[in-house]
Amino acid sequence: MAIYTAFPHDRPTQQILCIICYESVSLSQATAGSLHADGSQAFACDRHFYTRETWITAWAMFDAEQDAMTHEPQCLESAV
Amino acid sequence: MSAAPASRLPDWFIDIRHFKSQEQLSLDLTRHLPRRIVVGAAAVITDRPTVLLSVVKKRWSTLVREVERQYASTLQQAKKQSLERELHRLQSYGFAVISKRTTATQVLFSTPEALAPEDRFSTIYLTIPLSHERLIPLMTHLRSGGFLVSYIGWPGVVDSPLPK
Repeated sequence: MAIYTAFPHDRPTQQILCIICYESVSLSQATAGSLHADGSQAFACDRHFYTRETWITAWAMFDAEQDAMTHEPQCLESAV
Repeated sequence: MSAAPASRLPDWFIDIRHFKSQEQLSLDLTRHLPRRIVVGAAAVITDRPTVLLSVVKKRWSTLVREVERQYASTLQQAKKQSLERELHRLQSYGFAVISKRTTATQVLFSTPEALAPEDRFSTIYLTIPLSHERLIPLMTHLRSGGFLVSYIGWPGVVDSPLPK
């Protein structure tokens, strides 16, 4: 697999943080997932992609956490 | 090191994925899709939309059963809740070919030319080789910061035929 950032520069060596093992890997060794609560792109190592159980559970938990972070301020506001 | 902030996102990401058979392509696609639909609508570009839709739907059912199995076997409350939420999400997505699309369609299977001018996707899966001339109009349908996931090598370069 290889992820490139398109235009103006290709940066396959750009380092990203895997949301599953928290290791820093290059884009070329990553697979894209959903977004962080701040809107930035989240990635995981390619190697996790082929471990079905880890892949599903880890991303499900990540999405739930990010959603909770996104909705937290609104909940506080409504509580006030 | 954290991911780049949203304001510094590149125009697009291009993810070149490798596979050895059409079966592997649909498997990879079905595993990749659940993570990307969370971000926004997706398009699967193919020359046989109905056929690929049917294959992906079958694989999707298998995926749902797998998540159900994981849900049933976990005792951790947080994990269980996340998997339950994942299950609801997976079961709620709408898949369609162009002629049967509705407002609930999140994954559209289409040939490149059949897309409507106003269609915008967070992810476009490219499963057929396209010439540069056919690729450029397709890219207008990809949102900024979106992913072009290519199963045909570097997009816009037409060379060897796809594996059977």
